[in-house]
Amino acid sequence: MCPGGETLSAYLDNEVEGPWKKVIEEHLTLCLSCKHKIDEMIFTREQLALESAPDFRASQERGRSYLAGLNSIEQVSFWRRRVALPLPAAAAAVLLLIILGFSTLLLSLHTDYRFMSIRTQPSGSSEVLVTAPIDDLERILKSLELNSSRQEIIIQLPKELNFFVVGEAEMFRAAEYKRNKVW
Amino acid sequence: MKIDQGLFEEAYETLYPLIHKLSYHITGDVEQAEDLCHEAFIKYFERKKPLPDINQTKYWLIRVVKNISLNYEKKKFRQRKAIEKLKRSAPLTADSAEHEYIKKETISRIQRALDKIPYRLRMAVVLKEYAGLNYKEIGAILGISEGNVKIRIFRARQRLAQILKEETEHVSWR
Repeated sequence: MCPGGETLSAYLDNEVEGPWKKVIEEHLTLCLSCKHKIDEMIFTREQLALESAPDFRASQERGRSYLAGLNSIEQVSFWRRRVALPLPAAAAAVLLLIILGFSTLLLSLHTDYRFMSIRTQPSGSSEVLVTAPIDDLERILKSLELNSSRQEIIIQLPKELNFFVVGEAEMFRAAEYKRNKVW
Repeated sequence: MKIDQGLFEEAYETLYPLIHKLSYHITGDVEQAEDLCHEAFIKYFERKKPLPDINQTKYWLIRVVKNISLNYEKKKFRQRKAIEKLKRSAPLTADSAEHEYIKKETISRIQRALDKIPYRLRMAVVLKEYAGLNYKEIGAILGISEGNVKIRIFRARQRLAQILKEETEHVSWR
């Protein structure tokens, strides 16, 4: 019985082992059909072997220079790495940074006082004028206490302000108590 | 950890001819072969873990070429379909026909025959004939059994013989 074409092809590739190889070799000396098949395969194989690929050297050099470029990119340290950014985007980022910084500064100044001005006196000392809402007097006092260990502080209340007494004074309450006392 | 520069240089110098040859016989196009080759080596360059030896590097690169070439094959198939469609709607002009003729003539008879057989058969026979790998190695690269490799190589040879025979007959008739 003749071996299949796949077996003959494998035999050609030296992929048939042991006793089967000997069996095929013997068979090929006797069977003209199988001999013809294997000769055809050998011929195709030879034609494929004759086929040469185009010269690779120019392509290899191009690849080398490209890879060298990649390598130089790789070697740049993180802190020296450059980032390409479109000019409008860069300008917008800078502007945003300025606005953010400025508003943060303003916010930090306005946390305690709504308005502040600094005047230099003829004597050389500085006078800081702070306008703050009177309803938060306790906070103003606390803040001044914290910041002004060596400074002179004058609190000037608005002139048109009308004060009124809230609650009853203790002396009044004591007199009232004595009057109602039954001995 | 990255691949050592010396190791990479050695692999590039030793394996570039083989990878280039395989890429060319798989794609049948010089430019595509170069692209495939460069892409494979870039992937190797970017690889985090070095491979144990030059032989393993060779298998790894061949596997990469196989994977990338599959994408190329799909693209080529779509392009071929589109060209056929275009040819049906608008016949080739003298210029484009000449260009096609020159391109066809520059590609050898064998390479044209290789181009005509299915990708899976071409891949197996190219690895056998141009990389000199055995069935076990081809099976490992293609992810198929040795028996399957045997069948593919046989069928590829059968088809190639048939195509070359037909072409020879066609030439002798002209």
